[in-house]
Amino acid sequence: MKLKIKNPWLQLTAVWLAMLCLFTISVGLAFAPIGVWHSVINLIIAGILVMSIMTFFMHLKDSEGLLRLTAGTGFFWLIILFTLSLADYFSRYSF
Amino acid sequence: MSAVTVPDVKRPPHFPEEHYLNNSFSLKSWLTTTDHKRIAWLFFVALTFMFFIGGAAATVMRLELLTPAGDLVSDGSYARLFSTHGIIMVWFFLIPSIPNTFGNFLLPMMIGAKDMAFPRINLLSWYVYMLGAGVLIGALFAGSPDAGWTFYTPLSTQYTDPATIIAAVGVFIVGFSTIMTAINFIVTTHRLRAPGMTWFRLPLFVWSMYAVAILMLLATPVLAITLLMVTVQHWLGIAIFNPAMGGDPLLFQHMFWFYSHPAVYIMLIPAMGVVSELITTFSRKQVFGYEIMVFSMLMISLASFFVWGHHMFVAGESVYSALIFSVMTFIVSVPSAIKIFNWTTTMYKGKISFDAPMLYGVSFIGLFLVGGLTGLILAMTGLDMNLHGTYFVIAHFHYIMVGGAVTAYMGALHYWWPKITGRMYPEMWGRAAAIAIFVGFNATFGPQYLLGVAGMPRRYHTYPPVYQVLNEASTAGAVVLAVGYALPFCYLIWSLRYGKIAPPNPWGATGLEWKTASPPPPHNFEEPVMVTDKPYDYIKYDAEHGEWQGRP
Amino acid sequence: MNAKSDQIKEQFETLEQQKSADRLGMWIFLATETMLFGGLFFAYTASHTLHPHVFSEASHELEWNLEFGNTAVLLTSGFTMALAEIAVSLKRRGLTTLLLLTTIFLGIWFLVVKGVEYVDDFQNGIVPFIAGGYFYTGPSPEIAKLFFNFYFALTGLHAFHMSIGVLLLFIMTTLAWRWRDPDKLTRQMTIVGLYWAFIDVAWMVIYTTLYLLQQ
Repeated sequence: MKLKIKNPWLQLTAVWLAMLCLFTISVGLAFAPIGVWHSVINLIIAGILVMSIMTFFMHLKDSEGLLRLTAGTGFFWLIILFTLSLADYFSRYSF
Repeated sequence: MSAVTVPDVKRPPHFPEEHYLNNSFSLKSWLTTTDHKRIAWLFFVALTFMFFIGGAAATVMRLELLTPAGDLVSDGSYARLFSTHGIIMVWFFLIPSIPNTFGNFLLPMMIGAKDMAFPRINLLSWYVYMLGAGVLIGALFAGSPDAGWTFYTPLSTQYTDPATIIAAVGVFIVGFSTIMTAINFIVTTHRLRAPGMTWFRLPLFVWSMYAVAILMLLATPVLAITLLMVTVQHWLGIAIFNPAMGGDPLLFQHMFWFYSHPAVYIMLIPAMGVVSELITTFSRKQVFGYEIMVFSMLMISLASFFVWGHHMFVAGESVYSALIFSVMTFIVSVPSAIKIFNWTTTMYKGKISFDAPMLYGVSFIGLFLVGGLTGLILAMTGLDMNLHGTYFVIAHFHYIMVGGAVTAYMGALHYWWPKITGRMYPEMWGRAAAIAIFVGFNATFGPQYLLGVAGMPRRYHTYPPVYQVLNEASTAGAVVLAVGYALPFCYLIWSLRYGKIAPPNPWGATGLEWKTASPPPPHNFEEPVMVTDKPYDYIKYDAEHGEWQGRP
Repeated sequence: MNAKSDQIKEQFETLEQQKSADRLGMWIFLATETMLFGGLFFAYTASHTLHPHVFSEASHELEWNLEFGNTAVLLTSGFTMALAEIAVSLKRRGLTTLLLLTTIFLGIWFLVVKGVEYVDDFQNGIVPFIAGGYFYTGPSPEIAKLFFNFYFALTGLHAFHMSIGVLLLFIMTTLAWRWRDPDKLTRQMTIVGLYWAFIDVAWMVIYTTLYLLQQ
């Protein structure tokens, strides 16, 4: 791992604290009376947390493009699986 | 292609002092080897064994279908036969066939590397394969799977022989072997190319291994988790795919075909890579449209993930979904068509010689074309309603898998046999076998198209007498086909001892694997490799070596 | 051929090439893991679309509060693992060992709390595949079984991966304690760190969808 000018200890600590805060907010909002919006927010926050784990704990921020591409591939192929199959589920009984 | 290691093709052929086969002889040295060339041999032996088990099951089926009555085996036994045949041929022969033998042997040599990136994982892949094969053979003895190769639920979980589930565990295990090999292929291609071996100087066979590895990596885990759910559903009685308790059998089919449609291309893309090498070598011309060939292969590995629903037109998926999948299926045929066009254009005005590998190469093009076009017929939702349950599907599938993949496998076997063993196969016998396979194959599966159109349903061991003539023709063809496969088995073993000693480059081919000795030294190349040219530059080759006069 | 350092395996020319091959291999493996978890997760989602109301009610039986703390523990263990990787790259033996032990401690804590939740589940009667473990009285108890089965499948698959992770961390700790070859250890820790962080990723998705979305 390359050491940047920035102190990696501090950077990781900041990321960790920010993640804990975001996560707490997410759990708090799950019980807020905002209807379906809490699901949307929960999912967005989960996405942010996943991205930060991959960026900082898994070093994608210092990695070459190929590794980022590999990391994204699995998720992209899952989108194919979900989209085309759920298209069937949501239209199966509608004709 | 290389400027450094050009052996003199005109010296009398002789074995090199030390090569990968004679540097040690003990059984232990084979079972603990990390040499990719020896691991290829381990796979080759295991795959040949499995091929003959699967072939034996097919033989009994064809004999049973000789007469309309069920006089040889019972209906239950027939279901066991076609399930065994399908499971063995798909997962234990076709999927590992070209990648794990020729891919293992050639990929590092073609890119100028000493070995795979992870040699020990490569060996582990073989052991995992053997474990999976052992579990499957155990399932055969424990009563044999009888739910078809597709493990459709709830049939496979609720209503069949428990051996079906054991077979599913075997397939689950062998999936990890596939994944390990695929990781090795991708990392090796990315990280171990020789200096000067840029991406667009890679042989098309390497590209095909790269494309197929992507498919294996992204599809196989989904099959693994699906079969795991089938197993758990069977053993713990939980209801993921059981409609009686709120589950959804179509969910199984979605997940299974999300793997298994790409799996068809897992079996086919390596064959395309092999045929690209064969056609260009024996036409002595550069591949027509090299970049297009590469992109069409990568396109196939992406687009083949968009079409799995065409297996479910009659299974109850929504009509809107069926329309999308139908259109997608037409789209995925475009890159395949491009490849056929490019192969024929490569041959156009080439200096063609019909050695045995080339005979396999051209039969591949014809058979794959027929199989592909009939696939388009099945992609039309309306026609598929009528044809889905008939022999038309069987014929289509076998034209792609046997006419396509196995033919290319045989072609690769003959083409690289001198490199692998250091000895030539007998050419006349080779051509005879290639012709026998082509004729026998068409006689076996051609009539099945007609049977399908006439409405003969698949998976039954009896049929109305009107179908008998075509079934007899099919069985007669199967005899010729069986002879065609038995011949190479005999003469290739014969050639191991009595074949003529092969020169390093018997075909006058370009490509790094021909620049080293036959058989190659333990670390593939005696000197460091440096690549300076495009692939398949036969004009330059002939300028350097004089016009090619055919094999010596 | 000039002599290579014995750190480099035969098929590689340089250490940098070998390191990048290892990292790429691990990332590809994690992509396949994504597809493995994703497949199970897709089965859950598809079943959810068939029975949204039953699934939603059933998920209220899960103990979100227990797992809230547990998720924080897991995130923290990812953090200490990332710190351990820095420590070993700076060749600080004591700190590396300490951080690895902390990570192991947090990982085992997570697994123990998970076990406590499983015991609670059994007492609450939502374990459909054990005799006497199922007496759920919410809407459509037969179909709700499907939800609970997915819950056990997803968390169980995750716990299985986590146990392997803890095992790998124990091996790393032993190697760090011996401190024979810090350069090699640094490379190994990068690979194990990727795996450990992937477990975090999988859990974030599982917790959000199974525990939070239905509340």
